[in-house]
Amino acid sequence: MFGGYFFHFDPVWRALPEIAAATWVAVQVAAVSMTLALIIGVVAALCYQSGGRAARGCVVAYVEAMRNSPSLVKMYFLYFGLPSLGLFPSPFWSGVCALALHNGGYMTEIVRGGLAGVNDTQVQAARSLGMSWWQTHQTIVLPQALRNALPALVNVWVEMIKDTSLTSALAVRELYYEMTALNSATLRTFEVLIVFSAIYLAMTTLFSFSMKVVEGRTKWR
Amino acid sequence: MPVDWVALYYVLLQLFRALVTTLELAAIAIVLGVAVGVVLGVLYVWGGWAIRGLLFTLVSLIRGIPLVVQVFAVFFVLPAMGIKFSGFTSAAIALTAFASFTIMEVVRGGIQAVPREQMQAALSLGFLYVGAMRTIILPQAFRIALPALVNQSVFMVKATSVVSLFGVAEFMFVAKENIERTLMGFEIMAFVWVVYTAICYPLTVLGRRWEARLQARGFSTAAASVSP
Repeated sequence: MFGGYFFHFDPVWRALPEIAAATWVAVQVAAVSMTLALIIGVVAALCYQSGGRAARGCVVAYVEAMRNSPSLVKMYFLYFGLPSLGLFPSPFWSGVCALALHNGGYMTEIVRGGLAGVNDTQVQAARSLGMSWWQTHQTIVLPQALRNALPALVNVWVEMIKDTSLTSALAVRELYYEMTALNSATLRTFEVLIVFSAIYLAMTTLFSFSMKVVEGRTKWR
Repeated sequence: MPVDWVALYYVLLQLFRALVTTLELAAIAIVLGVAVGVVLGVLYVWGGWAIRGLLFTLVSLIRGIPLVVQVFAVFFVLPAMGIKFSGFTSAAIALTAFASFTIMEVVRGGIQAVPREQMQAALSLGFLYVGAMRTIILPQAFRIALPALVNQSVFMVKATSVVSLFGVAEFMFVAKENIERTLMGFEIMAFVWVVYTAICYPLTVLGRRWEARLQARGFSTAAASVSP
């Protein structure tokens, strides 16, 4: 199978500055979209829990619109569709917002589950002590809900780290974009594939490992 | 805004043909993925440390590396080894491999949710391992894993869009091509969004309903549900 094939990693190592830059872009896409997705999830879940029928309907419609189509649809919609309305988002922000919106739908469901796991008597007790709605949620409900939801949230976040590769469809110069560019420049397909797979694997593994540590630290005592 | 009906006709015609390709890809990946996934899931439960270690390594790789990179591997590594397939076949191979290993995890969760005593009882009654697995364990495991399998199918329908980056003329690729030809980005992407939702939403509802039924019977779906 590998008869006559000699591995030459030199062309890949020579591109190390570009690879590092691309990794940094991927990390930025991941970090911004993961944060935005969590914010969307928490806000939408709170709207669902505390809002009226209209708010609930909106949240359900949002969640279903997001999780029943690929994230690429949202990326192209933001990048190719919004110009019709006179908005011209950059590739980076189209990609980041599409990832955040898409995965925000999943986060909403997860945080909603976490909120449902916090007993309502705690809210009643806090309110009877004179705490405002926001104080109650900020200091009592949300910390517990997010702690319950953390393992599921981490799953979606890992998925998001991998999905940063899709932003290359909009020519964001992140890892996968650099990988295809390097492959066509050097034709060292095996070497390129091994190195970039290792980088992705390192990112997802490092992230889920460090979140395991956080999970252990924040466990209810 | 005046509507260009002729352009619309040709766009819709192309999109319809591409939708058929997308559904074919998804169907191949789901059907073959379930078949291979069940075999791998049983192998995982039955096997010793060597088989388990191998399968665990493979599933860790497949779940830790983006799907685009895996499709890239099939598209570029197989030709480098002298095996040449069409774009559609390569896409089908990559998606099937991905589906097989994620479904293996679902099946494994289902099998392990069936109490161990059932296998022990069956073996002590003189069943062979294969027979007990086929007639006693797997039917129960399948029922437990069904909602997760439906969710995985939804995920596979959405995942087919990834192969558009490799020039396979499926729904997303043709949609993007038509945006470049007609500049109707908003209309076409809105349509694509609606069509994907129309395919996936019924499946999502079905999965949710079966999950509720399973929970009502006292099974935890957590054992079988592996988030895609």
